[in-house]
Amino acid sequence: MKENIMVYIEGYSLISSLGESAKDSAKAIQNSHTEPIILKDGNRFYNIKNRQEDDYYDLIERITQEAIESANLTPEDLSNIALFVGTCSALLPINEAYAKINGDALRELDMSTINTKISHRLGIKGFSSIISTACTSSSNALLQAKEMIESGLVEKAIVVGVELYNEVTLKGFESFMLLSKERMRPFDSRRDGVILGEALSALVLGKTEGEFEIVSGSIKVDTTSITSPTPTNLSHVMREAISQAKIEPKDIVLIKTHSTSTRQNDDAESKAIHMLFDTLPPITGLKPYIGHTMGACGTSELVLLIEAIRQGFIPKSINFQEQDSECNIIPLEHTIEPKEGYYLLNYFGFGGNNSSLVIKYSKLPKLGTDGFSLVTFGTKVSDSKKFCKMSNGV
Amino acid sequence: MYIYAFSNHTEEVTETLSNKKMHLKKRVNRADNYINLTLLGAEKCIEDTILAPESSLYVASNNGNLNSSVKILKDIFLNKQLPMPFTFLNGVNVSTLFYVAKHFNIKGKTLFVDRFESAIPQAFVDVKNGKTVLLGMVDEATEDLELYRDRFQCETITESSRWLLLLPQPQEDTPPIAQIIDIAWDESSEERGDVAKLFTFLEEGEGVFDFKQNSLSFRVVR
Repeated sequence: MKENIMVYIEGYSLISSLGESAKDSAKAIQNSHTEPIILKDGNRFYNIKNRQEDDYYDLIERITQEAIESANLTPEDLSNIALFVGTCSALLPINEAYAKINGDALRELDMSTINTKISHRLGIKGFSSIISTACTSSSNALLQAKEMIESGLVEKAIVVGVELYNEVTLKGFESFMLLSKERMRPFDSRRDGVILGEALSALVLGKTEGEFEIVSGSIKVDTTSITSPTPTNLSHVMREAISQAKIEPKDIVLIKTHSTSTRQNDDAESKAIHMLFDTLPPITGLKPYIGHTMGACGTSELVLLIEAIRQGFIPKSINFQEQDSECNIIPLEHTIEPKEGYYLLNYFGFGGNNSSLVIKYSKLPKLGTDGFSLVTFGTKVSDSKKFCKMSNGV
Repeated sequence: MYIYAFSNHTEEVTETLSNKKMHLKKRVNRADNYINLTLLGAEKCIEDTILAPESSLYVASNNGNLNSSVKILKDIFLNKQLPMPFTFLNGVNVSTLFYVAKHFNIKGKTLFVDRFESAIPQAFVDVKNGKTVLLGMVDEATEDLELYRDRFQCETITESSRWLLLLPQPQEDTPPIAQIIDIAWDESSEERGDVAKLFTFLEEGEGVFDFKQNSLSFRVVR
């Protein structure tokens, strides 16, 4: 019998086109401040502002360090912690810079260099893994980290999502004619494709009870088509995530859709949702705010959502104007107040690699036996060796 | 966890990369050298076994799909043109998972990871949860052998596609080939058996094999 171990989010960080922190990014969402830049080739892109030359490893180090600080991890914690990095492009930004100058390719080859360098810089010891499964890289990394904690192999895990500007992804999407010429419009009848973006995000997972629990998830492969998702398979992955949470679809209070705004993807995702839900819960898509951050979208959209919830709102799904009769979905047109309960997050990728997560939000932290709050994010009271400050009750 | 099948496909490359496609039982349209190398090793491991659809699949690789990556970078930066759509797709690691999953009718979890030492503990967790795991370690050479020699600083060039079929329980009618035990992290600098030696042990060895690379240690008993 599997032991019932619950895994919580103990800290997080985000750098996106919206801002240099999760707080700034969520605030920008509330004010709907979001516009992609137009690149020299005419493509649109959501870029991180103020990037420095050769900042690839520095940015990964920074985002990891910020999550470590957010969770108040000690050097002792870091001496036996799992480090997962989810990335689609991996070392491409470095190899591209080299190819531009030298005309040939392949400067840095071994993907594990990322983890080795970051572990060394931050004093992280223990298991580490890069997961590279296109758009589901960091959502899959989250689920792998959760399972590894549940198995008892590790106490805690840091999950980092990394996707920085690279022309290979941009030109690859262009070759498939998947790029939007104007803006991303999830489930809108006039949607014309995706706008890519760059982001870094990190979460610390552990067993310290907090507001956000990673309840369950499912990773499945759909081998029907390498490029086009099928509603039945998408529905199946959502259904499995929900059933593993031991809840019913009616218990879901919000769906964060993958919604890339391409014709086929939104069509398949909407049909899959209709297959599973008799009555649709509120639905929102976050990519129109930060772009499709590919391998980093799993962690980045999760951080964006939970930070918005902590700021007291569920982001609306922007740019939606005309309902598509095929999708038959009207995503959130106004921000709403977050409810306690179960949130379903979808991440569907190239190669039929699909995953869904169920997150539980508990608004008011439970009291510990000593009467102190167990809520995390810099105020760990349950663990006397690490806490910063106490709050008696809530 | 129990090893029920393995393959140790390696090829020394002297002049050109071999045509792997012709050795496959089932051929795949549009597959490149890396995908064909992956399938070749996996076919040798699986043979006629029918996998449970919910099996997990891990492909580990130090360098990933080199040839498609080189082609894409050359198209963009030298030829100043868009990559061919299916060259781009082949260059995305997840495509390899797609073709292997399709080949063996796998519907469960499929993950591409950076190295064998990353894959083994994750496979262990799946096996502990009752899953069958197909795990491969695949690395190709570039068509441009001089580029490969230069980047990897090596004289002998070898492509490899090594696979393990891992089960949670011994089967009633078939004994396992070996058992993997005592998975742990050991930060000491001492390195013992590596991946190549592990597979040589599976082919020829008896008794106990101790693996220790990049902080991961485990023991194989047969």
